[in-house]
Amino acid sequence: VTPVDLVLAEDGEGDVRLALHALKSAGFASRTLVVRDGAEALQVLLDPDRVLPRLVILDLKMPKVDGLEVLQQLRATPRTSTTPVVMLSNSRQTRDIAQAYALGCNGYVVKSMDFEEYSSSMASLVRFWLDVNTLVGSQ
Amino acid sequence: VESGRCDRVTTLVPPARGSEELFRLLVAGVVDYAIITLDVTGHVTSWNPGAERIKGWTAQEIMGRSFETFYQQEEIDAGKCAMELRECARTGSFEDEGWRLRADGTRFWANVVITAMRDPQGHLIGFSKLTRDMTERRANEESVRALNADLERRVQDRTALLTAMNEELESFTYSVSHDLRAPLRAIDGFLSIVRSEHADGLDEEGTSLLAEVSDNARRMGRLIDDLLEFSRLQHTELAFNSVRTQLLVERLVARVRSEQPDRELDITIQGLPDVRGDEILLAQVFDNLVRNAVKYSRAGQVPAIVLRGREVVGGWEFEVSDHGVGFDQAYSGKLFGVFQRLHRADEYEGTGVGLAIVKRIVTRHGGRVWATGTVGEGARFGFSLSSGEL
Repeated sequence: VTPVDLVLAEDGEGDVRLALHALKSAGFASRTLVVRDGAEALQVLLDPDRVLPRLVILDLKMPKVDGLEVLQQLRATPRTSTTPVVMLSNSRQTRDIAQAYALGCNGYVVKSMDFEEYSSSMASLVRFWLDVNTLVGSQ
Repeated sequence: VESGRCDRVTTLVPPARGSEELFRLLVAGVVDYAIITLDVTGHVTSWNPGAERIKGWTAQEIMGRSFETFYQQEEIDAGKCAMELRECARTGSFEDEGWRLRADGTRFWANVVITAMRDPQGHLIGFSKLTRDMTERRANEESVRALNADLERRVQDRTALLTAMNEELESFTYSVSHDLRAPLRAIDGFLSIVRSEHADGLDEEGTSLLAEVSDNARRMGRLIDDLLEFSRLQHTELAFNSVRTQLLVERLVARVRSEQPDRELDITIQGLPDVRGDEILLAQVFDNLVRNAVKYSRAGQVPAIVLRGREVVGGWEFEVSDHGVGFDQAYSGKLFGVFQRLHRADEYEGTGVGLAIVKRIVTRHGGRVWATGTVGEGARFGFSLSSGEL
């Protein structure tokens, strides 16, 4: 299995295509693995034979296992307990945001309804975790 | 417990010689109260018509029998009768309320006052016993209690129902926010990709149609946001504080001016009072009203807006008036409804939720809203706030 830098868990057909478009514009699409629900995300991330990605982006609301449950299980597993996880959500509700941080996410991004804004926030988010953060870590 | 009446009884005994006959007649005339006397051991020594009427025994049947006859067996077994006489002999009188038995075995709720009778030397010579039948009054009290309990229960049931409905509404709102946003973003996103990366394959008409689609998607996004905001207002807890509305409106006006630096605005703020309310929500009320007044100004004219406020009995009143396009007073009832608009969307930007939000905030502050207007001459929007002190 080819190692990836980024695992994106996103269920909506449209959302996936738009996310990939945004990642492609920023030059990250080839380093990304897209999974379509929480169960698949856990299958990939908890597989000891796979190299861990440097960033996991989880949609909050997904079928079968939702983003918060995935986050919870990642944090409860020693191997993934410190893997960077950013939640991606349509919800700007305080309780969702607070709950996500309480469960140990590293960031929470509200998906903008404006595609330009959405694209640029995705790009800067991924750039930070995959490029900037790596530079800082290697110094 | 009607101590005046009891006192009167205690002063009746012992009867002075000569007035004894008068006393006997007096007692004999009483039918609403059972007035009896007992010897020192609790056996009946006199029995008035009231006693016969309330308890059911004739004087003949009851004379010489123990007053335990009137009590239920458990009470006798518990030593209640002996205790009553002992207590009465010690303190002078004893009062009690409870179930007593009639001759036919039925119960009645009795108010009983027993008074010790002593001779001039102070020796105990017996007891007088005054009994009232309180069954009806007790039944009335109980039915009032039952009615209150029933009412209380119904209020609780209704409250629980409303709470459940509110929660349902909230979760509905939540899923609307989540589920409607996603497809909208997809529409906007795909349009954006088509327009930026596939523009070559589009003619002028195609480009213009896509722009139209994009505008509508954005407009729907605003509608959803506004509707969610409106819905959220119903659930938000109000944070009541002292609010300096003059300062609040001055800041708001400065903000509105800075957003349209090239536009001339004639806004007058006439000494607004300090009020009690939720500052953030009240700021929104003023924001919506002032922006409306600016928006609905007449083409080519400098918007002239006046804000007034004053303290009134029980609260405060505010008005925002303008000389803009105004509205037909016949439609004033529609102004504060959700998604109600008096102008076409292409004439004036807006979702039709702003005034509904104003009304909801004001209503939650215990106030009301009103609007007067004339087409082509201007409008006046007012609202009151309750101080909660009336």
